[in-house]
Amino acid sequence: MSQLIIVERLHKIYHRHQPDEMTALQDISLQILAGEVVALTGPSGSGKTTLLSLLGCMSRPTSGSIQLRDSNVAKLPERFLAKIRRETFGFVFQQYNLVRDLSVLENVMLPLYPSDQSLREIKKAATAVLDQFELAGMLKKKVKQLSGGEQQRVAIARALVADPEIIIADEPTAHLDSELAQDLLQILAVLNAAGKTIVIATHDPSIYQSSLVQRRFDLRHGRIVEEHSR
Amino acid sequence: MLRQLKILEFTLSSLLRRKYKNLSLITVYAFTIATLGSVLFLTHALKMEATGSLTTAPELVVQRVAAGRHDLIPTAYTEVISKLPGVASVTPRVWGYYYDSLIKANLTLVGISSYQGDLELLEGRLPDNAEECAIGRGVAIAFGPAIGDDLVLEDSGKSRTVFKITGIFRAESNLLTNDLVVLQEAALRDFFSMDQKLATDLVVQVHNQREIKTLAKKIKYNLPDTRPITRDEILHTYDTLFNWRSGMMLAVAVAALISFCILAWDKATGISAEEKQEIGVLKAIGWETSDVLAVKFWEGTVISLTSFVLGILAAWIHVFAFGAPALVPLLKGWSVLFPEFQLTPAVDFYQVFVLGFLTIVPYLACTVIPSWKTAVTEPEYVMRG
Repeated sequence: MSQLIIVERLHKIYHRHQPDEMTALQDISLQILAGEVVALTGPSGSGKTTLLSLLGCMSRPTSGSIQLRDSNVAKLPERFLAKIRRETFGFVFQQYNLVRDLSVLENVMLPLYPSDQSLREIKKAATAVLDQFELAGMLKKKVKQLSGGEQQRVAIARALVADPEIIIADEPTAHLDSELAQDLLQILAVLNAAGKTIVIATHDPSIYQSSLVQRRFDLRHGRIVEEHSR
Repeated sequence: MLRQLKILEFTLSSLLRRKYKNLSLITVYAFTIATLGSVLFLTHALKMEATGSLTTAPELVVQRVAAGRHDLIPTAYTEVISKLPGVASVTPRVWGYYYDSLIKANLTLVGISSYQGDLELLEGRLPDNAEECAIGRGVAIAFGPAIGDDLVLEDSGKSRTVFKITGIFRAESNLLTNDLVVLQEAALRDFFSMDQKLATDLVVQVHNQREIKTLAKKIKYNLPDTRPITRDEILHTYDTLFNWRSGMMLAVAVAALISFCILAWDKATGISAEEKQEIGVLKAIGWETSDVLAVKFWEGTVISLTSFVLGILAAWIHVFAFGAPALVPLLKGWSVLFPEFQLTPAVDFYQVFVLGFLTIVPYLACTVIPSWKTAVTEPEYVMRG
């Protein structure tokens, strides 16, 4: 497997040079291979979500580099980062982050609006991915009318609609019961089998101890304290 | 182009999602525009009526002033003025006001030989004997008579005089003829008990338009108890009454203040936590800052344009269909004694454009700027839920 992401000497400091300055990440270096499933673990406040957002190009490091294939994304302007987020990453957020007043179909269409595809093509792609998750029967339903598990599946469908190379998932089982968590693991396994690289931030042992996760980085106080490989 | 169309489609669905909030915003916004538009339409229409009616007015009118007030002028002044170089003719006019307690309106009675201009009759003919009259449309509406009916007027001696109506003036000349009763000059002198050696004022025609001001000065010099009034001075008076420098400016300022209050309210409420979250989600899943701003721009454009069009339409209907009942007492105070009259629709498109510019642009700015602040923030906070 080839190296997909190379992180070197990454630092993230919030509110720099202000009284409430806070160091979130210190001297992080890691590599993620293409097709790999990686878990970031650690207690709350250890820096998992911050690292995940840096890997997903949703914020910039204070120092250090993030090499995504051939380009250092830490140096790219926001316009290019948006394009990378749109084309390379699919995000599954802890709170699902669906637009509550939009329908299931409209939510899944969202990542493709800025693409070159026509509305008809976008609808077709969104419908196809929703069909995979057995949500085709509730296309016009508002997401606020859905159960937690259904919302989770819509969120995953939205993450996949642009056929991204890397799935970023932040505490994906935080709001799911154990049965739904197992369903999610199965979905992730299928995606990984299809060649997707998956990076998950979690403190749920049922996830990071599962056979799906190939490597785990354990974080404490913004530093990687341990790396586990399977 | 395709991208903008898709964003516009998303914008429209976003607006529909918050339809109650947006409908209330459009209602308040359109009401403001309707108020502003009504003021503009009404003042412009009045100005057009007034200035339009003056195009056929005399170039120079000479009145006599006694104790600072307009008084009857001796017809002998005609000879003095006629001798001034540049004067083509001098014509005495006989006219006066008549208050009718029945309809509570002031009418203008004019002697037919003093009748100036080319005002057209809607139907009938001008009076050709002392027992006939032609009337304005407002008088016809107020009294209810038609051609062939009698118009009864009461002179200062309380004796009633009956005139047969022979003609009614057209609506286009409403401001000038609406309250008009045209009589034979002898009949009018008799009605007002006016001496043959006196007239209400004198109309002076000149050979050279450029000499009007000089002639006015000469008349004043030769006849110190007179007040020469040029047509330009009357036009200037109308301007002062109706244009930006007077009521209009005040009205626009007040309305602009209302607009500003709405915008300030909208801005103060800012974008909600839900909207911020939505912008964060859009950024996180790959929307560019410019895409988010485009959504907000289209949102603002749809709201402001819809409100503007509705407001202007409402203003048009309010002013030209219903006669501006909400504004007439304020802007037409001087005409409360007139019989009612219908305004001829007249719109100054430059004013409408300025109104649009002054209300749409600030609203767009207030919509886009707060969203821009959120849109340039890194989407990381969305990850934190």
